[in-house]
Amino acid sequence: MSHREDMFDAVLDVINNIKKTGFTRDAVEPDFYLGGDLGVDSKEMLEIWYELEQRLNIRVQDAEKRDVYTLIEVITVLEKKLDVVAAA
Amino acid sequence: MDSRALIELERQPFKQRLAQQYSAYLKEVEQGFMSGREGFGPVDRRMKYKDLNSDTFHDTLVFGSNSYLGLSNDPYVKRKVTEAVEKYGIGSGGSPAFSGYTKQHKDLEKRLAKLADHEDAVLLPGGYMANLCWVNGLMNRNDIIVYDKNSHASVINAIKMTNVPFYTFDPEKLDEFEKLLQRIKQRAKGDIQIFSTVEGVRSIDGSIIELKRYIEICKAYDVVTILDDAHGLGTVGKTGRGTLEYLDLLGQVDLRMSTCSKAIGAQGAFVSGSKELIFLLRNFSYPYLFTSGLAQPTIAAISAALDIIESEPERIEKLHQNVRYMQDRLEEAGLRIIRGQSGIIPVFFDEDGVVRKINRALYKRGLFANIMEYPMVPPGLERLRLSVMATHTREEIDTAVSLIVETAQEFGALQGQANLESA
Repeated sequence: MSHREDMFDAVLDVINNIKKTGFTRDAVEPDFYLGGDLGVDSKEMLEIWYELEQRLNIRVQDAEKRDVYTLIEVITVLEKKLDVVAAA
Repeated sequence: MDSRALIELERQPFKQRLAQQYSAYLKEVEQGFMSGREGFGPVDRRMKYKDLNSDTFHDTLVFGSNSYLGLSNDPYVKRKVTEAVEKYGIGSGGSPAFSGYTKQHKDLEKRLAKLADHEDAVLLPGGYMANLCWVNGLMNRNDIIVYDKNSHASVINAIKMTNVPFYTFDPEKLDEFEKLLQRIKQRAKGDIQIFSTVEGVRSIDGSIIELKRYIEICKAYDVVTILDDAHGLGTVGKTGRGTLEYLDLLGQVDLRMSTCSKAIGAQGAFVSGSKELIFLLRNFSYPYLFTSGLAQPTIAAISAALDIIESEPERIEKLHQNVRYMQDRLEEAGLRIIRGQSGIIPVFFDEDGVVRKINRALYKRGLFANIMEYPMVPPGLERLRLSVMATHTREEIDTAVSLIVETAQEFGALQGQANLESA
């Protein structure tokens, strides 16, 4: 999975599963804040990272999960990881 | 424990989770790492401590107490508390909403409010409750809070409890903070109130943010500001009034929260602000309304500590002299520190995980200090957190520094040591 839209769908799907919400792609923007716009707190975000790591078969270090505030920042971290996997 | 292990632990059935957590705890205690040590006697710069699994108390030099001014065991404070017990008894007998509010509470609240040039204040049993109090009393799901990413766990819990929408910001990046406020205002439907909180003296390293600029930005966007000054009261500012006095910003934040359990040396906490804002807290905040009022000896202890801070500001200067002296000695010895303005000195070591071993060895050698590890601080920024007291002598500071240097050397953790050895 490398297409950005697919990645968006994956992130939203995981958020929806954990938060029991119903965010759809057309209702969110890349610059949406995890907290203020999506209601995800830092603890819930760790669960979301965990699920994304499982689903995409990647490992994101805890240090890389800090200071990530928006959806696009989450996606950027994931894309970098997937690029590394693809290049290997 | 990294976040993956944490999530996996949390997903286990309760009994399995409990068994795993308890066995990890026992292992920590057995290895002497567990910081749940037991002290004996008054809180002071020298105390007796023992491990949980030991029967023997040992003398330690304490560089891990928040009683920065040494007021927890001050003769004047103790005398005033004894007098108050004779006069007013002990418990408050109820919550402030019912019978537990007395003239003694009111007089102390007025006095605490003046420390920030505010009109009124509410007293609470602890810092955790004080943070719950202002979030819960001021906000609801129709408002927005933008909080310092270093905020105490109680602020985050209060946000969850109150259901107020939340954004996080990095106080080191105020340009981004301003952009965030702009964005919130642009996208808000209708007239929405934004609240924002920031730490005065940062609990993890004792440094102070660019508070003046933060306040200016907040004023420009009509944001209600709340300063968490738990570590600032009694440790910074010429007369110990805290971060606002230190930066010449008295009266410039809407609310100031601080505790009475650190430099004040007692217990409890307070939130001060305008009479209108404090009216809201006093009448609508559940954590204030439905908790018993502070006991009389505690009120007397806080008042007496304020007497001392007012009449002997040289104690604060002595604390600063001690901090500077210790910072200089640590740096001369090649230790990596942050030179903050308060009573906290963080000491960093290069290798991951070594700080807990160093701290255990220090404790065995008679030095009590605290450490901060992930997730309290970012990975790789684990630290020994030294808390200096105004009452420490130069000899005690020299002893502490020697012990830290000697122990760090033993673990090959002195700055540049690893490189030297591998050269």
